[in-house]
Amino acid sequence: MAQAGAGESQGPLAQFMIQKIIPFEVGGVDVSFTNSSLAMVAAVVLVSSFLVFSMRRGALVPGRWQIVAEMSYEFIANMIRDNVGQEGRRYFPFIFTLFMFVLAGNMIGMVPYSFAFTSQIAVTFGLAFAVFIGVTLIGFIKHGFKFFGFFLPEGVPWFLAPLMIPIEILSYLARPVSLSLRLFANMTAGHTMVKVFAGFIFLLGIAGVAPLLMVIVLTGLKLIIAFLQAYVFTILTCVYLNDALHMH
Amino acid sequence: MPQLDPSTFATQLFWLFLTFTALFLIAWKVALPRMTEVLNTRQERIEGDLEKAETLKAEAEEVLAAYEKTLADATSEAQGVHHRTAQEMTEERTKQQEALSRTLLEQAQAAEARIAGEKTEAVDNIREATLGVVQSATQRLIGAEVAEQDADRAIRAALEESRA
Repeated sequence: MAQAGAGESQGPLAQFMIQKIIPFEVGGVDVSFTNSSLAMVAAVVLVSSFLVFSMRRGALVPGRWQIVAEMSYEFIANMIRDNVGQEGRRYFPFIFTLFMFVLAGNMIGMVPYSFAFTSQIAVTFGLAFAVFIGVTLIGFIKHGFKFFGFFLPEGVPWFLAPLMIPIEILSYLARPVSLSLRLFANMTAGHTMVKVFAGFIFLLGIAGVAPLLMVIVLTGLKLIIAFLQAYVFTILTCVYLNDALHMH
Repeated sequence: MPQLDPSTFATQLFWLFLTFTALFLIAWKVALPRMTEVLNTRQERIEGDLEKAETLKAEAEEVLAAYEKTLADATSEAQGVHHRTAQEMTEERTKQQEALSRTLLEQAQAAEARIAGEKTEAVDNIREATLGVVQSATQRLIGAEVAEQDADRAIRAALEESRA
């Protein structure tokens, strides 16, 4: 959780402040290197070195690190096979990257004084919107204009069409919103809650043991949520991809 | 909420794009092919080993079958030899027994013949010995001279009578 600079608010939401580290602009747009960018770069470095170094020996009988790397590989491969099927294999690198990136972002956020870029709505929406656009393009490339049939499920009586089509379109458009909000809200709520309880520890003196225990419990819970939300984000991407490839 | 400050969106999206693309390229071009290769190698190795084990098992089964066949052949051969020998021995024994009984029979017959011959001889001796006795006894008792032929005939008749 980022320690806010001097004179800034020390409230529970201060940890989500974007701090410029190396300010610069491109064409009038601010693209400074910030604490958020630092966390993203850290995620890339961590995930890449984990994947590369754990598989460096490529042993027939894997060691500890190699087992973890292979487990993550099998985990995503199975997820795609179960939710998308054979056609999903092409998208394995993207979905694997998505999972590892979100998981690394969540886990880096768990380190005290670090920064959780997955608690930034801009980041989660950016990812969710990219998935949404990509999946929609795949749907149109594969099915052409028939993909519009997605908005009128088969077997629905014709007189329900005026009702069904807007509902389906709305729910389809809501996908990136719900996908990004879910991750953003979970991470923000977790970090805020821990910060609030942590603030009470010193205020309450000896009774501060109670919020301290609470923080410990919440930290465990957040570790689970960090994994779970990365999983949910990835599996929903798989579900959307399956919808685009196979329609309903 | 600091997250809703639009002034931070551009930089976050910019860096998100940059870092995510970098990670994607690393995973796609470097990390994942390596993992696929390692996993495939292992899979192939396992399948190869299983195949080899299968072959070896089949081979062992073949050897076992051959061994069992040899064993069965040997057993049946031994049984045949045993059977044949037993038969031969039985035949031999029967033959010897027959020969023995034949010899015994022949000897018994020869003995019987000899006994009969000696008996006849003894009877003849008795007749010859009696002939003189009969002639002189008759002379003494009735004073009649008995012809040798008549005496012989009478003795023979008496002998025949006693033998009967």
